[in-house]
Amino acid sequence: MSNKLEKKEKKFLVLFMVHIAMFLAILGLSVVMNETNDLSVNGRGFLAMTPVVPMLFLLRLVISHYRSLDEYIQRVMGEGLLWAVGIVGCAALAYGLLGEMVEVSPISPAFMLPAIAVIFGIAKIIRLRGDAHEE
Amino acid sequence: MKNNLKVLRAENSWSQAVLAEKLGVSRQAVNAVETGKHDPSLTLAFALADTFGKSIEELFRPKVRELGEE
Repeated sequence: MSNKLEKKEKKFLVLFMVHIAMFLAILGLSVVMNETNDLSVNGRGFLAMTPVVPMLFLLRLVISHYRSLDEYIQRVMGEGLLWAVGIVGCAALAYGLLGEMVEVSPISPAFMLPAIAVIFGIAKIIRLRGDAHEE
Repeated sequence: MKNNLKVLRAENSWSQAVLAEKLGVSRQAVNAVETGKHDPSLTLAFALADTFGKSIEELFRPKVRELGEE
């Protein structure tokens, strides 16, 4: 990878980690505030959703980074995202259909985004593995 | 799409990383184009041709099947 791209990648990773840290901090804060204060339903609802804010900023950061990538990496990321959304979507569909027939324990939809992110990462690594070495 | 990027790169003694640097793309992109895994956009094809001082036709040629001339 060229120095210019490496620098861009490093900057992105740092900003990515900052956003994740902000998400975790706000999540922790919202949990503590919810447990230590007697809030109204509206207040608790607002508090519960506040960690989404840094994630929206993170989404903006990822999209901006995606636009700065070259065409091949964009293609790999697109395919990775398709795999991730497809696998998580199919798993959710299967679990939902299963729930119609047999009793299953509920799974929070909050796990969908992390699941998509993890599968996307794995798909991207697998897709780029073949390009790791110069032929 | 077939190409002779590997030969031209070797003639210039450039590594994939060096070529990638010249083109402003990732080394993976150069590797994917070189191995035929990725057909470059016109922009990248022109950039490659310009870097090697050749025409696009000298760098790339479609596979016979792609032209429907089986």
